[in-house]
Amino acid sequence: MSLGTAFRAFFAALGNKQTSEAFLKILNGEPVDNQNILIAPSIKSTSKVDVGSPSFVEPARSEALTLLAMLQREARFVDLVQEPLDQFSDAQVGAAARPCLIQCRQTLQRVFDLIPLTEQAEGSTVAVPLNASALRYQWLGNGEQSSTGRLVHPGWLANQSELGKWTGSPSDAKVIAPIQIQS
Amino acid sequence: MTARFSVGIDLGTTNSVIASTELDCDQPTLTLLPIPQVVAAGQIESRNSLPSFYYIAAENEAAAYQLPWQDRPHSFVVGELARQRGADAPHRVISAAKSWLGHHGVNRRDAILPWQSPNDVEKVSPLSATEAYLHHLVCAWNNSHPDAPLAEQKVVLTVPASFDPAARNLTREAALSAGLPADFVLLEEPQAAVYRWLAEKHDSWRDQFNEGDTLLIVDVGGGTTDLTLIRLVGRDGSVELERQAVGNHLLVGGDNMDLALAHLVANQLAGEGHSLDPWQNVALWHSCRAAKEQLLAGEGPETITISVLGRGSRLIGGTVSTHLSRDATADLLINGFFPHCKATEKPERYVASGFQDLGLPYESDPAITKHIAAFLASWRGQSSEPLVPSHLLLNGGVFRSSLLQDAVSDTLTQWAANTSGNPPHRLGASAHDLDHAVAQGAAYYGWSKHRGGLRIRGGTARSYYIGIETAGLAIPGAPRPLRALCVAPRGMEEGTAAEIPSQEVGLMVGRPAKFRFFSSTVRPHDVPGDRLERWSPDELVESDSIQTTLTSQVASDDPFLPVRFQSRVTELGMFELYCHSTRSDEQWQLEFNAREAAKERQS
Repeated sequence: MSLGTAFRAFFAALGNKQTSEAFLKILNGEPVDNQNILIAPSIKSTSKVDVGSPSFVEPARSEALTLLAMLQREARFVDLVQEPLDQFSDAQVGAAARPCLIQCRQTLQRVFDLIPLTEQAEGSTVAVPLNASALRYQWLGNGEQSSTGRLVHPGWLANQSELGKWTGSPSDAKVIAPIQIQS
Repeated sequence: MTARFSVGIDLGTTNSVIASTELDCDQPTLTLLPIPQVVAAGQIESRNSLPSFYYIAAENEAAAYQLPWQDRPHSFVVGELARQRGADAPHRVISAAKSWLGHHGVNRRDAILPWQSPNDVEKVSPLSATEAYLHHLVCAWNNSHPDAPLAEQKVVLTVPASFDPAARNLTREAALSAGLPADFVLLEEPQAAVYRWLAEKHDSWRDQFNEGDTLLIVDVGGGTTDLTLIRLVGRDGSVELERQAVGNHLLVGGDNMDLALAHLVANQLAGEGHSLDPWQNVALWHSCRAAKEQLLAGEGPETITISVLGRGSRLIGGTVSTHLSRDATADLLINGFFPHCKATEKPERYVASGFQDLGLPYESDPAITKHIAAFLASWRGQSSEPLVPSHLLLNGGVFRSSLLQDAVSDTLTQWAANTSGNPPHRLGASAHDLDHAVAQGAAYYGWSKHRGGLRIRGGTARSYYIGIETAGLAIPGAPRPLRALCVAPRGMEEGTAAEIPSQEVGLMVGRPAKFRFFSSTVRPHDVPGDRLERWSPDELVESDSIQTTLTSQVASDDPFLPVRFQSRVTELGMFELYCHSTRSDEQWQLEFNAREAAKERQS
């Protein structure tokens, strides 16, 4: 549970200054304005793999772990973020991060089919529906909320959530990457 | 129960794809089936293609690879996991089973794969591996369509145009035991690519053609290249597509190009003092595929950086990088695989050394343009002018690189200019469809056939012959002279039969009768009953032998029964050969003998 929350929080904070600042406040024990935390709503998986035979039990691990294992397997994501950066130059970090990020993007794209929440260009004036959901539209600045505003960030939407099916046993549920041994 | 879907299955050398469309609709919607497969121990995901790789699991692993439709763990896995395991456990992974299926230097029913793996690894036959891929696809379909099982649908399975009747028979056998319906249809892959194009154009396709035009299809898959020539013929006041010729089975494809590039980069890295382990080499192979597509795109960058991540958990410290330029890439791939060449040029033949491995007969000359030249020249016949097609359709993932598309069409344009002809008109293919066009085209063909619509005609691509030893004095140490009897002309239509006018052949009752079997792509004028006394090895290509055992119900004292031959091409596209008694109504089908071929070849 806590790891799943941490993971969602991680993605919510990633690339969103406001949310990450809000998290920082929480972590520092400061009071925060709830409105500022935008956490992606959890999406019910519409995995196409049916549990066809009765011998199959419902997988015993959270989808957050499955996603983390997938990013490690396909993009070495955990290896990258777990490595201490101090001993390396920016060029070295960049060389390793580039293929890693390209693969992260391909993986996330395949799993979530990410698209901007609005097609309109940043900086353009957009119409905001009356009673718009605070999860879809976030007003910035101190001005009055009105029917139009200037687009700062077009948002992101996951068109799907296709994480596949984990079929391991409960005792292996927390394994993100196996130990590799040469025979 | 009646079929609801037309299902097209592209059983590829490196990737298999399923597409489908509802039959009962005026405008087909071609949909790809997401195929659930094991991607890591304990992890199943759906992908649009099933890599055609077969991993023989170690005993303790099997449980981690169980699929939803399996009631117990199997001893093998096919798909993405199997492909990945090719890097760290190559002796347990089978690849290119399809090429083995079409290779009659070996016994396709023998457990010979993985080729040259150690004895403690269980082996399987090319036929069983093929059946395993197809069975996985059948289960994937049934899993997502519980109300419309595949066995009740209209199914079209594609094969290389260059597959001979024996390879088609083996494919059919594997497909039937995998659970495809008995009335499934075989379609040649390059034709399927044309159907995909036709599906996009609907009724407007005729606007692009005139009577007498020719269309060359160059289908470069992962491991093979397939060539087909289609002619536009006038029929009942309209133009129709008629398949004229198919090329030989060429074992060179996109994977060869990626590997060539990976080899270049690995050498570059070695020069800089970095050596890669097998796992890193595979990672390099994949980055080279991506690099090739980026660098050889129309407006691609001049150079890109290729990085290979460090092994172990130390990722940044172990990462090595090098630069790859567009010029070097284009030089390697275009000069190596699509060089500009003359229309009269021929691929270089491999000069056999004393020792030759029995493995797959990979092309000794990877220059696809030279193979195209040789293919067109063999079709040209007596005319001294080289034939340059008026239209060109390029299919396969490698043509995502527009420079490679240009390399083929520029070469053909050059040939056309030399004969003051017009440059070929390139039929546009949507880039993202290049990997899935064959399966989609097959599904469209099933739909079109069901509704009595458009069809590429042409019948058999080859003429077929059986070898008959001539009677005469036996000379010790010398084989009896062999004659070839034509049993089917090129262009024999589906659903037709031909009686072979010939002298009666006496076969012994109760004993297997065996004949050598040949085919030719370059003798369009032979008719059934023609006898060839001699031929060059290029003219007639030997395939598996065919055999039957006569079990006569008609009592006779004569151990020899006089027979004549009859050939048929079934509605499903299968070639069949029968012999029938000239004294009664009895007849016997001759079967291709994939088991004996290798032995005979060596004797």
